[in-house]
Amino acid sequence: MSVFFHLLGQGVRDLFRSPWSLCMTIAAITLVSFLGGAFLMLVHNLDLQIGARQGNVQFQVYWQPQATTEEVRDVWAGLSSIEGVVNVRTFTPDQALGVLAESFQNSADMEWMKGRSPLPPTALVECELPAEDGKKWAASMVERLRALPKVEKVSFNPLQVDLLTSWVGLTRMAFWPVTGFLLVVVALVVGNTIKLALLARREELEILRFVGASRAYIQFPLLVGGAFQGFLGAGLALGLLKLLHHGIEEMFNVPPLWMTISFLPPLHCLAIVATLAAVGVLSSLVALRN
Amino acid sequence: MITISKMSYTFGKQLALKDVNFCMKQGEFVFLCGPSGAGKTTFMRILHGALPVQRGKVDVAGYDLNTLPERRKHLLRRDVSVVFQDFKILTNQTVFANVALPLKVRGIPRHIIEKRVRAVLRSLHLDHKAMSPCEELSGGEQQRVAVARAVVVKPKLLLADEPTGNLDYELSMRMMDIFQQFHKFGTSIMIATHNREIMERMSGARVVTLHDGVMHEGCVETGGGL
Repeated sequence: MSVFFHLLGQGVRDLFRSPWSLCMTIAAITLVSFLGGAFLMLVHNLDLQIGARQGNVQFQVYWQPQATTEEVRDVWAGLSSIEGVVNVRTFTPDQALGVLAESFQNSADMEWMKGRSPLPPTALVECELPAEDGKKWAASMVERLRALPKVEKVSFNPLQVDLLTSWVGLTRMAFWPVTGFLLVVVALVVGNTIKLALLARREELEILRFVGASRAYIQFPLLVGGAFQGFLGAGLALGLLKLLHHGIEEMFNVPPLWMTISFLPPLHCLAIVATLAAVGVLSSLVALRN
Repeated sequence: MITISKMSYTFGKQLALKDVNFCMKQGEFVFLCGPSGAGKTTFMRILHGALPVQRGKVDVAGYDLNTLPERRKHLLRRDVSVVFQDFKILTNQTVFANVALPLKVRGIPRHIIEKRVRAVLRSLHLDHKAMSPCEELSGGEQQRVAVARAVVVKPKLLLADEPTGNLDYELSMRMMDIFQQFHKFGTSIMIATHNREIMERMSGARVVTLHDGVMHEGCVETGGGL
C-alpha cells in the first residue's frame, strides 16, 4: 500500500520536474475543456429554456356555440387525464369575452354583451412535445381533441412544433461530434506530453528497468501524471466557466427574454472532471504502448 | 546458474555471437575476456534480458529466456544485477538514492533500505558521500556507486561489464576485492574485462574468451585487447 501511495505521489512530483511543459499542457487542456464546458452549458441552457418555456405545444379547442355549459364542463374535467397534457385552461363564453376585451386593452366596451356572448366555450390544452415525430404526434392529438363531444374546431401552430423539433434535434446532433472532437484534442495533448516526458526520462526509465522495476512500477506514475493533468485542466476550466457564468448569468434576464443562465449541474461537472482524467490516463497508456 | 546452448545473435547481417555453448555453476567466478567488438557486451545484455534470444537456448538463474515474456523480465533482473560500463546511474540524484533504488522498486521497508544501503556504502568507502549528488563524484566514485547498487540486493548472479574500465590500478584492485567479498557470500559473478592484471589477481577464477562471436574456454591470445 505504501508503494502505491509512493508511486501516486511520484507521478505528480515527476510532472513538476518540467514546470513549463506542465504549464503549457495544463493551459491547452484547460482551454479545450473550457470550450467543451461552454458548449455543454449552452446545450444545457437551451434544453432548460426549451423545456421551461417552449417545450410544450398549445392546442386551442373551440366548442360549438350551441353546446351547453354543463356538457362542456364534463369534457373539461376529463381533459387533464389525456396522455401528454400538462396544463389546461378553460374559458366559458363570458370569460372568452373578457380575454377579448383585455386584448383590446379595454378600449372597446363589451360589458353589454355579458350573458349573451357570441364566443364559444374554449380550452387551451398545453401538451409536452415528444422527442421524436412531433408532427405526427400533433396531428394525432388534433384528431383526438376533435373527437371530443360537441367540439367544432381544434387549432395549433405547426411552426412551433417544427421549431422545437429543430432545436432539440440540432443540439443533440451537435453534442457528440463536438464533445468527441474536444476529447480527441485533449487526448492528443496529454499523450504528446507523456511521450515527451518519456523521451526526456528515457535513461532514467531504462535504469529503473535494469534494477528490476516491474512494468506497473514504471508505468503507474506516468498514468497518474496523465490523470492529474486531465483532472487539473478540467478543474481550472470549470473555475473559468464559473467566472464566465457569474458574468453572464443575468445578461439575458431582461424583457422580452427573461432568461437566467444556469451553471452546469454538479453531475455534469463531475462527468467533465472524470472524463478528462480518464482521457488523460488513456492517452498516457497509448503513449506508453507506442 | 547459466546454461546456454547454440546461442547466436546478429545485428542486421552482422553476426555478433555464433553458436555459443556455455555453462556456469552457482557460486562460480568467471572472467569473460576478448577484444573490443568480440561480443562481450551483447552476451551480457542477452543474459540480463536487455536483448532477446534470437537463436539457441538460454537459461539464467532459473529463468528460461526463450519463453520469459517482457512483462516478467523484472523478476529475472531482481536476481541478476548488472554493473554497466557507462555506470547508468542517476547523476542528478544522491549516492544514497541511487543505491537505494533497486530496494525501493522491490517495495522493501524504508528502515531496512536505510540499514542495507549504509552497510554497502561503508564497504565501498562511500559512506561519507552518501548525500552527495552523483554528478559531483569522480569517475571512480561513480563506478563504485554502480557496484554498490548492483550488490545491495544480494543478487544470485552479478554481471559486470568492464567494471574497472575507468579506475586506476589501485582502485581496480580494491574493486576486485569487493567482488571477491561478495563472491565469498555465494554470489555468482561474471566480469567482462580487458584487464589482464585483475584476472591474474583472481587466480582461481575461470576464464572464457569471446573472439569474433565465438566462445573459447580459457584465456586465448587474440592479438587484440588481451
